[in-house]
Amino acid sequence: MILLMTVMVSSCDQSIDPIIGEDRPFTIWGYLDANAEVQRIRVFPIRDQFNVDPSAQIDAAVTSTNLTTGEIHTWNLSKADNSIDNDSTGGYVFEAKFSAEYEKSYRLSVRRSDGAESSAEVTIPPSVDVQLTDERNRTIVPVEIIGKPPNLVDVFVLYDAVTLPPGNPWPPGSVTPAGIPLPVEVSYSGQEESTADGWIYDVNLREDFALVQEKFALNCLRTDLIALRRIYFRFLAADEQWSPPNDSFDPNLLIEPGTLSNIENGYGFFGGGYTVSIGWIPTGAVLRNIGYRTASPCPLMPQNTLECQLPPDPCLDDG
Amino acid sequence: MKSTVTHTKSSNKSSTYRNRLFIPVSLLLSVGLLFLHTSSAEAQTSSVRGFVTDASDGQALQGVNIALRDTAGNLRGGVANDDGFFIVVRLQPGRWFLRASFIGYETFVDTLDLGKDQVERLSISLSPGVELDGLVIEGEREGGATIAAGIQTVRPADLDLVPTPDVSGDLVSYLSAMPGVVSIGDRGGQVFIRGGEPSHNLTLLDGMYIYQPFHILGFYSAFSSDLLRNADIHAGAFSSRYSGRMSSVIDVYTRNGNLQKSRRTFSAAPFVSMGILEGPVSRGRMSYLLSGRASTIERVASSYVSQPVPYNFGDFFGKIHWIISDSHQASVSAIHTYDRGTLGVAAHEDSDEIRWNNTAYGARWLVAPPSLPMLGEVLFSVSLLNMERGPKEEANRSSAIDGFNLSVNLTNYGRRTNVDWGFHLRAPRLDARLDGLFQNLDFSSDRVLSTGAYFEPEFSFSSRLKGRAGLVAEFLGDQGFHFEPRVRIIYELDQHQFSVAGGLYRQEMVGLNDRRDATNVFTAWTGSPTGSLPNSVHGLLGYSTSLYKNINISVELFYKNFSSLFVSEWTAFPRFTTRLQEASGRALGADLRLEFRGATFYSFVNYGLSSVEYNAMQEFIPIWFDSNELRYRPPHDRRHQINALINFTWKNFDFSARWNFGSGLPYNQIRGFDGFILLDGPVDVASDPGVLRIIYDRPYEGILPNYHRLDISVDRVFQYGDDSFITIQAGVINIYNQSNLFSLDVFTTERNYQLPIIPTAGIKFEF
Repeated sequence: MILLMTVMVSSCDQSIDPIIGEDRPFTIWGYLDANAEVQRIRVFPIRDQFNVDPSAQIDAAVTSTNLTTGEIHTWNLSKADNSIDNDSTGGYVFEAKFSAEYEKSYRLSVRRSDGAESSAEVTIPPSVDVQLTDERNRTIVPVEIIGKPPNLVDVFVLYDAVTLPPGNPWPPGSVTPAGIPLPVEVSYSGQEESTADGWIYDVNLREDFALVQEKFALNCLRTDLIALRRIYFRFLAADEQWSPPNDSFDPNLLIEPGTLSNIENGYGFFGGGYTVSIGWIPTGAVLRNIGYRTASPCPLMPQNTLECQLPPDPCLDDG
Repeated sequence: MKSTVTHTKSSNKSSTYRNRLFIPVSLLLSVGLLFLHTSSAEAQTSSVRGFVTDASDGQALQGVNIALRDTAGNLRGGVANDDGFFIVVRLQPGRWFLRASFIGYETFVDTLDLGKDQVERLSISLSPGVELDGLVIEGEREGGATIAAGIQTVRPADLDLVPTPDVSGDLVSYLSAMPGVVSIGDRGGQVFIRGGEPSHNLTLLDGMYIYQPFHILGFYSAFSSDLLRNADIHAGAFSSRYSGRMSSVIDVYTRNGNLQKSRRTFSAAPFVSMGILEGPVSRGRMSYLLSGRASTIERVASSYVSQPVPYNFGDFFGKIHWIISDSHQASVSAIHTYDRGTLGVAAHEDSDEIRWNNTAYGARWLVAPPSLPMLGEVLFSVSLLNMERGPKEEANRSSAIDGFNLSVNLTNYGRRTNVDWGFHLRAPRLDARLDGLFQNLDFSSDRVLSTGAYFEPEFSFSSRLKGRAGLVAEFLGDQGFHFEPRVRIIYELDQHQFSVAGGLYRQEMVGLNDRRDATNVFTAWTGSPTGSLPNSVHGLLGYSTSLYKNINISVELFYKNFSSLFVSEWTAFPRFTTRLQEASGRALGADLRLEFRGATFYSFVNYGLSSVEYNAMQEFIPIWFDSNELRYRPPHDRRHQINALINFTWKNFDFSARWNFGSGLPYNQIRGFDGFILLDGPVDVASDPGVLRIIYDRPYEGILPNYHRLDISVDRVFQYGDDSFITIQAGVINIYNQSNLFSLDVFTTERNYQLPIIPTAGIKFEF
């Protein structure tokens, strides 16, 4: 036993450091927006401790280079009012004032003073044109995208819906409440069909109305008093690299470092793109046909009927 | 005190079963006999059977050799089982000389004149005293440190060999000295047996299910050596009698209360104190046994232990045993255990607390029908477990089990073939409130039905070769019917024994545990989350032999293949909730034991070599790791384990020393920390700070430091009066004050160490 103990004890070392270190200096998140005049990214220095030091200063110099023209922009720590710096997650917002040009390539570099550098290259997609055909009179509206950006991200239809309370509610003398807006997004990602010039989406207003009603019901709003102010079709025209595995932006998948990453010697993602939005208002006949209200119920003489009852208060405040 | 015997004779033709209380069981047994052709065949000749007890206190004597010799010199025999029951069947009518012998007891001899079809019933009481040699017919299991085909029987004397901070030994301390058994340290109440997780172990106490049998401080369980009669540790490839768990079985039986006189036992030590009351309710017929044990560590040991020990635990046990007749015994048992404490790194005031309690009530009826070569056991029990974790004021996670178990186990004895068979009905209700711990599961209260039967004949192909082939048939409600074949073969050649065993095992209940935190004891019990039942295939190969007279060596190779395991999903989110994924796994290894037994010296050294590997099936693994599967070592994969124990007596002092070495356990190493922003659209990164993220290295590639510790103890028993004793014990835990890591917070690098050097002392009064 003594021999065993001697051998084993001499081989034991209780010193252990679970943090083995990372050579890559930075994690970068953000994209070049062809529509924006100021570009922003968030840079995380890779730390060797879990807790964030709110007083820490980042050791990073950020530059971007237009690989066509050679123009270099220096990015600075953001002072924008709406930027959240290093408050809890250890990220720092950098910004540069320039417009990214369509179909141009850029190289972003985040360099530490000791020379360690994380970088990425991105090409802004070409511009697109969006065409609607007889959109006001249809319940299924074809949305045609002319031009072929490599990826369309976050494609959705936004229904700017609102409750339409009775104009003269029961009991007589009650104050007519204000309408409650509740925008509802319906995703159309992955529902595109390819055409010779680009893509086409069929926006089905009738099917989507069921989802709108569902959202209103979840918020304890009456589903028979929904009016529609406007419809928007929106997407992000994105660069070639902005394509997640499995075509899914599932955070449980993308959380793993290195997944959907184009950062050399670092982690994160640096993309390029721009937002496209087009809106329309269907005719009253189409709206009524779908189920939307176009006129306030109980407009003349209030009666003790369901239509004239005051709507209940919303139960959730997630609108 | 002299050995005594009570004779009762009966025959198939004349026996009348008068006690109406037992009619239902008689019917049951009769059905069984109709089912088994062998039984009627065995009844064509005479048999001798009965129970052997210790004359001094009425306790059943296990392992007593029963030898019968006729006038022609033909020899027949048997061995008393754990209940002291023996039976010798297919004896030709005529005169037989019976001899019952057991080391340390006076040998009992008698002459029997057996008529045709006669069943001779004997109640033999052996008096302690003279140690005799003589004819020895060895049972399959004997002694405290021998193993055969995965089964090790442990006696109270074995437990007392292992130094603990208490005057009495405890089963869990002995378990942790076995090869192939991994505990996460000196606290936590978690035991992994040959690769299986704690929820894969079946623990029975007098037939009652105990779901969380080990106390929060790793030296103690609900099974003190003062209460134990024996414990069968089935490390794998267990027989058809057991079902519902897929790794191992710990089958514990308590002793009965003293049938002859009232006894009291009290002990005090810095960690726990205990009291036992026992005695006859009806002298020689009925006894009671009451015990209570409570931790004193927070009040006493904390004053000199150099780290926080916020643990409170204890247990209460009661048992009434009734010898109804020479064919029937019954017992009623009840147990309640409680545990409370704070685990994890740096037990802060606001740290989460873990609490649990077990409560179980059970009845056991042992019946040896007067006219049949059979032993039957009827077990009915109700078991409850309540476990909570969360802030001290109000737990936010809880799990509960509440269920009954009815088991009937029967053995039909033949000359060459014994048949074990029986059936069970279990229906535990499972309830869990998890505060989002396992995000992708929808928990609700659920009752899991399991009813089934087993049939396992034991064949004696020759005096050297024995085999068992069993089958468990179970109906598991929505899961339908399942069949689990089992096999077990033992070949003995002189002092050499070879064994092979294997089988298929399945469990209908799943214990879910977030093993990302090794100190996390909280287990949520549920039915299978995905509908597929966890199951395993076992195989083992064993060899044991005796070198010289006092040295035993055994080697056992084992393999377990696990399917439908549930493990935490891999994620870089630093969150305390998780999602579950399905996994498969396998454990393989070898256990080597070397044991020396002398008159005043006992020692063993064992070595466990083990490899456990899980194969996770998370759908994202091919994307993350460029491989279709993620094979990794789970955090209980201890590759090497050595236990050495020395015990010797010198000038009436009993010295024990135990050294334990375990190689490091796997853990997740971290490369660094950053933030994550989900760029699933035109996200404004200026206003979205993202979430914290951990950059892990490949899963479980890190290895924690080795673990080793030496504990010593010395005790001496002083006798005063005829049968009153005082035991004084002193010892030191972790005598060379090794800083063994217990837990490591990989986020903060804070670490928590196992117990440092701790001197202990205790005193026990028995009168």
